[in-house]
Amino acid sequence: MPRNAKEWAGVPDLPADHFISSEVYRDEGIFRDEQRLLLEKTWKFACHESEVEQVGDYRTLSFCGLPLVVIRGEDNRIRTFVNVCSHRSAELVRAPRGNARRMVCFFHLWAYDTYGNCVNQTRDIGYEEAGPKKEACGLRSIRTEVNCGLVFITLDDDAETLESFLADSLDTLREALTAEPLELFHYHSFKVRANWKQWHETNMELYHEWGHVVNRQQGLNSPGYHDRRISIGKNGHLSLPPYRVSYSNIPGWEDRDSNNFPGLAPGEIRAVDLFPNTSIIIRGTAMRIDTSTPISPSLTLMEFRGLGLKSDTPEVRAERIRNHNQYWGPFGRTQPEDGFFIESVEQGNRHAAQYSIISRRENLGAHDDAALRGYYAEWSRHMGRPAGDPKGNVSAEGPGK
Amino acid sequence: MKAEQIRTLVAKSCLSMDDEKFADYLALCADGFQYRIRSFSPEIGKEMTWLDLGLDELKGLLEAVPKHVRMQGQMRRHATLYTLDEDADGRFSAVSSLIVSHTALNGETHLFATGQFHDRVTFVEGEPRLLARDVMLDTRVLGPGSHMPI
Repeated sequence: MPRNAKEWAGVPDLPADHFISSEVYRDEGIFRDEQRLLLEKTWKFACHESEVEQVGDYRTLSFCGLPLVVIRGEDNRIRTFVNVCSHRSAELVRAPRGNARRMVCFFHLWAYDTYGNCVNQTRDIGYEEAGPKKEACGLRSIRTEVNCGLVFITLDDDAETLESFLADSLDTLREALTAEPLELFHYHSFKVRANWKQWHETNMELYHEWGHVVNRQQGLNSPGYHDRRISIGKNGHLSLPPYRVSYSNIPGWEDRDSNNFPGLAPGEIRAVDLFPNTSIIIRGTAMRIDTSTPISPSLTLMEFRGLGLKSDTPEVRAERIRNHNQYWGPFGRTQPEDGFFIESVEQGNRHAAQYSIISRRENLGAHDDAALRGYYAEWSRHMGRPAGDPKGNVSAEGPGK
Repeated sequence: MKAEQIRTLVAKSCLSMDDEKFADYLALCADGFQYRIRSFSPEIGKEMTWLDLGLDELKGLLEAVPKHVRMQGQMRRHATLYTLDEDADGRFSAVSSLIVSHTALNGETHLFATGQFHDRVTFVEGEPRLLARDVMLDTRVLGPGSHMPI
């Protein structure tokens, strides 16, 4: 029956970790705390190592408001720096990608090497009297580590190692990620009008697949779909057990019998959701990596990468791209729908909703909300507050259970 | 005469897709029609293919469009034929400048994309037909995206 205003706003009659307060999506203070307590403390996927393949190759990005440049050094090591000149704070490199043995500021031509050392102050005689010497003008370094070809950064100099953070989360993808060199064939981004957690929630919450006509026609009907058991690992990472899908029941599509990623059976899907905001999904022949960058509580930069094997022949690459685009990319059959889903949810959370329900229990089956409960348990651990009651309102009122 | 026919073909392709009269659009296509959407990515330094469909798969996609969750409202494709060249095989290469707008159900209009149509056109029984359409997009940020070909 319909609920009146008081009933609508009331605390769900559920265990405390089976619902999420809409405040976690819309509250400015919680958003600022997320940056400080969670996003700046954990490891963030920055790019794939193939994007900075040669010495001097760089790639720019922004995270937690910081402009960053990822660059491969003369010693072949990948480093990240704040992309700001130490002199007068002009942006240092100004293209999304490029190659520079020296990063030269376009404003006053101060220069930096690939180790982040300042190697030139224009007409340095001017600094002899008062300083600073160029040795004190290096770029701000950001901790950077690579695992399975994935480049991660953290803004916390004291954070645990990347290996410790990831634990065994990439095990099901390790062979696919490392058996052969990979390279990107796809990149696109857009700013979704939604909270940054919502895209990641949708990746973890698989019963939204009922909303995709393509998934209703194939994945949801595949044998074993509901038999697999999700695995929630250390630090909130989620792994979905492999399962096989038939693609040929979509008109014009073919089964993915060959050219699957190393270690995958034909047509197999494997997926890992890395806390807090990166997902790696392989559908047999096609791999997608997506990651989010929060801009405000209701605006998020989404970035999507499609990868193939560097050894692909032109024919195989074309097949891989075609398979990628059947689901993903701005003209894919499912990815745009995920954007529409979460933009709609954002409107509800921002203006009307009080709680999201995450109470499904299916013995850790594909549609069990344990994935989301695990995610928000980790979120709560970082934030020091429960996602169902982030401002202490429920404890004052008294929870349902 | 042929130039005018091709100009009309490009216009009809826009109108039929705007109005979601997919049978009309497909009737403009020759056997073996190939449809692509491509764009160059400065982020990876490569040209990307975002859609590459033969006629059968395009038909399958268009039949499924009404079942998809998608951007509500009206798309308008504004194409202006800029250059037309007759090729050695008697077919034509046509380049049109393209702007696509979207008007939401609340009446708000925004620019969805800019780019070009690179069309290959043949004549079948005196009527122009599309052999291939390459949509070369300048715009790479397209919001959540679209299930509709451009």
